[in-house]
Amino acid sequence: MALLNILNFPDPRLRTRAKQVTDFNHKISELTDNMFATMYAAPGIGLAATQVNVHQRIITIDISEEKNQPLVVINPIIVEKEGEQAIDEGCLSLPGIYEPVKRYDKIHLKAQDKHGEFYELDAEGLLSVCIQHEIDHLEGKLFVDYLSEMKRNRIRKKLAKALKEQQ
Amino acid sequence: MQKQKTKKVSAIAATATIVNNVVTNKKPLPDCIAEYQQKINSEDLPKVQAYCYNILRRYEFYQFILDSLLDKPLKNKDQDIYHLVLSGVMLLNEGNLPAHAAINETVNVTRKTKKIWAKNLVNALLRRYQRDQSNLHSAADNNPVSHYCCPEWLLKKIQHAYPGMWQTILKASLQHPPMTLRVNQRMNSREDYLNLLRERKLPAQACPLTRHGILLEQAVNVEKLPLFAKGAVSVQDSAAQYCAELLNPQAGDHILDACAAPGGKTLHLIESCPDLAQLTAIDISAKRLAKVQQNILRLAPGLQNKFVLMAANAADTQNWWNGKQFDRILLDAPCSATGIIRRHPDIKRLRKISDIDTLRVTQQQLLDQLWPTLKNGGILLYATCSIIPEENEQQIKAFLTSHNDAQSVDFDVSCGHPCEYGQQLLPTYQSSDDQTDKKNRGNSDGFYYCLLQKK
Repeated sequence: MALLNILNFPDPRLRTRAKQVTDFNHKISELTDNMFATMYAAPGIGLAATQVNVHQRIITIDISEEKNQPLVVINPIIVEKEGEQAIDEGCLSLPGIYEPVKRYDKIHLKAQDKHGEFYELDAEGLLSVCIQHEIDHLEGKLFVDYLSEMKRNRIRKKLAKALKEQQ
Repeated sequence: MQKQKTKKVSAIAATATIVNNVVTNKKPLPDCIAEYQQKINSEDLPKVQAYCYNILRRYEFYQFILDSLLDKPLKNKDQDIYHLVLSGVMLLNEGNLPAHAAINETVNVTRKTKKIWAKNLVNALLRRYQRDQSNLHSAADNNPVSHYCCPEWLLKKIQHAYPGMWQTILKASLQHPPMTLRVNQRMNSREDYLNLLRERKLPAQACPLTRHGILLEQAVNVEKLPLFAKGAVSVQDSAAQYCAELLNPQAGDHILDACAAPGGKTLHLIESCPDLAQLTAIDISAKRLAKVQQNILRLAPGLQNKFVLMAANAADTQNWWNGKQFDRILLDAPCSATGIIRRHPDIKRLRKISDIDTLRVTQQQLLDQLWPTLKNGGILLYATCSIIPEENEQQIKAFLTSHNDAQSVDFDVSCGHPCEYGQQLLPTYQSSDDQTDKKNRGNSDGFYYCLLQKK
């Protein structure tokens, strides 16, 4: 297993639209293993392949405190959605930034696991938010896109400054 | 996605929020603390609990002071600020912090809220309190409501019911209660357990009022008590420990505990008579009934088959009763809990005068409906943790008038207040210099007991 490099906002590669996974070979399995390792190390609760510069529709998620409920979501489609909620979201591509984003409260998801098996899932609360957040990544969308232009610019400057200080 | 770490808040900010939630939403303090717990640093938690209890114990006192300080009342939507200042006044008065630190801590809370405008107000009010402290205190002490920290309706009721004693009762209700244990007599004697406590360097003494009670000098977490998980002891006030003694279960008895959760008294019954035939424990809340189950597993493993647990409204006998009459019934009825204010000062915020009538009706229904489930010659023990006669003596008086086959049985508990029927235990007041008093009278909550026999 290897830790992968996470792209940081405003990297243009984060804007790439990911492609459907058609061939469920050993590489997919290897990738999801590495994505879990990267996500747990970050630490995060969800990671989209887009964030590690692989532009395929693959997501890893684990919202449990004990890090023992890994979930692989490939080629996801949200088929039903209802309600509304807004919690403070953070993103591994925008470290340290937290802002509330309006999302559906409950969703019904269709997706495939790493072997290509289809499954369905009802999600609400944090899991529902996390799935919606990661699916956005696959579309090249970030949670800061939901904020005002002014807020987004302020965040851009803040991150640039933090990066400068690190170097 | 990255999950945000829950931001922790300062002890005083947490206190203000929790107290505000209790007062404005009329929610029990332990629930409010539990809800907010994840925002409190674990090392701050005991402090937050102590602060909340301090404020709620003397709410009317602090309220009087703050209302005198305010030129005009705060708006309804600013009750959070009101309770923040209230917390600040408490901190200045009994917080063991230097005054400047207490004021600073309180003012700082406004910086982290969306009500930064309140910063100067909070600061000004606290400094004004600091300047005028002695005048404000003496004014508060001249008013019985703020001196005894008791809502006016309750104060009037207690004055009326106990003309010569109301001051003592109210003072007792303001005291910090002791942590009282009940030794599980099936496992060990009180002397054995006192020795165990001594080995653990937990100072304690036998409670003079009860056979199995122990008064701890200092409250500790139950996990620190020797053999607690094994069921050697339970936490229970001495007044509540009369229950099993008075009902006096016998071998072969079928017994009903009509409002059982969380099961302290239920388990005491089986501890005092493991040979009883069956103990039916009912509670209206299935969630709380689960606590009874936990207590059975801890305190009476091996006797599980003696219990029948049912989530039901005990007054709704058609729903749960199989028609087999009981030898003995414990009716620990829902009540105003005005006898245990020293343990639950939030009672003063949660109850209102109209609750008493509602509770009276519930109690009367329970008595009326359960009476037919009692055998001829059987005993029903009516118990409440209330000190209001309408729920106790008067309730029984009305019951006896309408039931010719019922009679009240005399009994004597050493600390009871004489009543026409039954015995009223009052919360005991202890002056700090009166050690002999402490030894003789023990230290108990307010409780009412009446034994009724079916002719």
